[in-house]
Amino acid sequence: MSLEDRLRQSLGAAGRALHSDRPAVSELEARAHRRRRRTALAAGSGAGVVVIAVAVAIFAAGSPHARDTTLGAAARATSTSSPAGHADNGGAPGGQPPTTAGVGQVTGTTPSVGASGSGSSPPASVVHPNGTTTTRPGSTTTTAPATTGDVVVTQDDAGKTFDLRVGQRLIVNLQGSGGWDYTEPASDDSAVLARLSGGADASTGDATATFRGQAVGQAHAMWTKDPPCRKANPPCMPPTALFEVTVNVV
Amino acid sequence: VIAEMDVPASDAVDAQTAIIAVFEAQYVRFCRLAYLLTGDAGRAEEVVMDAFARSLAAWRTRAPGQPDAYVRRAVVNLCRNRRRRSWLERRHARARTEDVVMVAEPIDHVWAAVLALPPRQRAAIVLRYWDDLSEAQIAAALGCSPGTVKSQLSKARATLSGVLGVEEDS
Repeated sequence: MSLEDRLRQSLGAAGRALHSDRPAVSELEARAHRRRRRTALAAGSGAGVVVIAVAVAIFAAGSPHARDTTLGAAARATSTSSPAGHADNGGAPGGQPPTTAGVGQVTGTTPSVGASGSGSSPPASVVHPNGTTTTRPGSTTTTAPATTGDVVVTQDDAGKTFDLRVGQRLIVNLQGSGGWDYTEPASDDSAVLARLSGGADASTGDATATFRGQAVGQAHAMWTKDPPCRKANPPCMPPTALFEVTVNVV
Repeated sequence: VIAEMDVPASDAVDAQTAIIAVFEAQYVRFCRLAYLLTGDAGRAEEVVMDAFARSLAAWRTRAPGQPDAYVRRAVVNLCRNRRRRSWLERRHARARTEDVVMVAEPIDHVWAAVLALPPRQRAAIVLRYWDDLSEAQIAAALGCSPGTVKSQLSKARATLSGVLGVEEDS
C-alpha cells in the first residue's frame, strides 16, 4: 500500500473514531455575544498596557504591598484585553472584528464604585480583586419612545433600555466630575448599533459617543470610568465597573 | 469604523446565517479535523466552538464570502496556537515536578507519525489526505502560497516515508 493510501486510511479511521454531539445554536450565539462584548471592552486596551507598565515600575521600586496590588490589577487588565481568555491570538483570518473605540480599561476605587462619582446609576457589573464578578440583577428599564430625533443619554441612564429606529442616532454624553474619568462608550454589536464618532477628554473626564441604529436587533452601548485615585502615585487598583444602556433597534 | 459601516446590515445578517448553517452541517467534521491536528478530543471540541464563536462575532461586521473556508482556517490557526501553548504548559509542568504522567489517547502509528510533524506540515497532510483539499484550498486554510503548500507536503511525505518505511507515490 502506498504512503498516500495509508495516510488516507489511517486518518480516515482516526477521524471516524471521534463522536461528538453538536451543541445548540443558541450556545454558539451566546458565546459569540460574550466574545463581542469582551472585544468591545478591550478595544483600545492601552490602559491595560499602562497598568502592566506601572506594575513593572513599581516592582522595580520594591514596595511589596504596592507590588501585590498592582500586579493583581495588571493580571485583571491583561485577562480583560484577551477577549477569549486565551493567551493566543489565533483564530479567524482577519483576527478580531473591528471594534469601536473605547480608550481603555477603567476601574473604580471601591466595590461600591458605581454608586459614587458623578453618576448615580450603579454599574452593570463589578470585577472584584479576587477575580469574581458581580452582576447587578434586574436593571431598571425605561423605554423611550422611538422618534425621528436623536436620543440623548447620560451616565444617569445606565441600566436603562431605549428603542431606536434604524437610521436614528443615539448620543451618549458622560460628564466626569470629582476627578472621575469616563471612557469613550463603545458598542458591543456594531452591525446593530454603529458608532459614528466619539472621544474622551482626559482633562475634564468627559466622554461622548454618537451611535446610529444600523439594523434591527439589540445591542449595548457600554462605558467604564476611572476613579480619582487612579491618578495617584502609585495608582490604586480597584475593581472594574462596567456601565451600559441597552438599545433595541426597531 | 468606516469599514464596519460599509457593510450593509443585510449582508451582516446573511453572514450570520451562513456561519450558523456551517455550524449545523459541519460541526462534527471540523471537530474531527481539529482532533486529527491536536490528537486531543476535548481540546478539539473547544477549539471548534471557539473558532465558530470567533467567526460569528467577526462576521457581524464583514461581508460574506466562503464561510466554511473561513471557519476551517480559524480551526487550523487555533489548533496550531493551542498546540504550541500546551507544549509550553507541559514543559513548565516538567520543570516543576519530575513525575508528570502524560496520558496519551490510543492512536495508530501512522497518525502518530503525522502528529509528530511540524505544525504546518501536519496541517497540510491532514487537509490533503483527510479533507481531500486541493493545494490552493490548503494554501487558503494555512494562509500561505500554493508553492509553499507543495513544498510542505513534499517534506512531510519524505519524513513520513522514512519513519514508516513506505515508498511515496511518484
